[in-house]
Amino acid sequence: MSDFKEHMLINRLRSIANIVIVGSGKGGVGKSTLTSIIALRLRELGKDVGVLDMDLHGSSIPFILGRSEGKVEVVKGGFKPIEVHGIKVMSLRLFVGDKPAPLRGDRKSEVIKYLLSLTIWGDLNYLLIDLPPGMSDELLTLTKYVKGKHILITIPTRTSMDVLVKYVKLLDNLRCIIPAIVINNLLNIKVNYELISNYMNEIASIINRRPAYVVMPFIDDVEELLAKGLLPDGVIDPIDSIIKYI
Amino acid sequence: MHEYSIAEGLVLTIKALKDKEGLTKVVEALIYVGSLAQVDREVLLETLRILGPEYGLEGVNYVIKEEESIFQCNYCGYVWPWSEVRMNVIKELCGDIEDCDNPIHLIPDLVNVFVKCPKCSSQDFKILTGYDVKLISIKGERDERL
Ligand SMILES: Nc1ncnc2c1ncn2[C@@H]1O[C@H](COP(=O)(O)OP(=O)(O)OP(=O)(O)O)[C@@H](O)[C@H]1O
Ligand SMILES: [Mg+2]
Ligand SMILES: [Zn+2]
Repeated sequence: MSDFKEHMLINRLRSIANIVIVGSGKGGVGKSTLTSIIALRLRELGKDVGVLDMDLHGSSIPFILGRSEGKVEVVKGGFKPIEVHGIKVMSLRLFVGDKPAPLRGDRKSEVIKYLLSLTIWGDLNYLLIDLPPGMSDELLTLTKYVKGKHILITIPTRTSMDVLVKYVKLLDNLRCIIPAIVINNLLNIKVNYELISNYMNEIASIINRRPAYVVMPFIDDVEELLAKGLLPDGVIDPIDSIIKYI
Repeated sequence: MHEYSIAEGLVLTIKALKDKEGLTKVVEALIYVGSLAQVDREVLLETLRILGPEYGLEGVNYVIKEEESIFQCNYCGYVWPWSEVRMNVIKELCGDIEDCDNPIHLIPDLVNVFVKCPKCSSQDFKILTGYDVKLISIKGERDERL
């Protein structure tokens, strides 16, 4: 028995120059916000950008970018993403709306394969993939088929950095590339640079290389701004230094 | 419309298998279709015949093996076939339009989003048989002189 999606998936991703996967292992640290900000910035720089929302349970990209409605359009050859602020967006939300999706492991992997193989992105400079929290089905299925660059995000606390280290170990075992890490100060606390530096040393010793890291500041009204497709002032510099690595 | 994508995926898969096995010609392709995928058999066959030659697959006899999708509830153990709930589910998803591009047709795994166990209304059930569309096998010819 052969899965008809697998060869399609490989073909489909050929038209994409760069694939960037945003993850953290931990929930609520700003993955979807960061994905949206990078997408908006790349678009502002004139790039063709797509975002694949891989959070099957907490699908939030369309919402963050200010578009909670929208249904998938089925065309010859696959699913057409919706376009929001010039960015192509594909999400399970376009299929199930606001219904919960109680999917177990295998079902989730298959849904991901469907989205990867049937979404018609066309030629893209960048495809950004927003991962859900956790280190299971979504991440494992994705890394099996997609070799992208992994941008990691965490908040500057011990508990969150600790999960990040586990996540790095897993990615390293899966032979994934981690060019940069974003320290998101979403709690608006005084950033402890010594703590960050210690964790960065630990990460460097795991992957035998030192990923770049940047601090993303706390942003007032981030949700309102992104919903309008506007980039918050304080993020341009940190985001541009991330973009250099993808 | 969605049958076109499935046909494209199948043709790509058949072509890859043909190359891998070093076949000069594919004579027959056996395809598995679970009822949940709501595939229009005639449309799928026709699209396969149209797309095949674009991938060097001429004169293939496509054989479709259909199987009813059967579910089992993870909560109460009840077993039921897709046909038991199909009418109501399609009506809910498509209204009066027949054959609409409903989410289960597009991604059969989404059955857990839209179907509940008829006995205990749990959405946590497994698919015992009749899952997805797959290529079962191909038969072909080899150039024996090689
Ligand atoms: N730098 C920041 N400044 C202020 N608020 C932020 C910042 N980054 C993220 N947030 C807010 O924090 C919340 C969580 O962010 P987000 O949804 O992006 O996290 P996530 O990691 O994607 O979560 P999940 O694990 O649930 O997918 C959101 O309300 C978001 O607006
Ligand atoms: Mg998120
Ligand atoms: Zn039940």
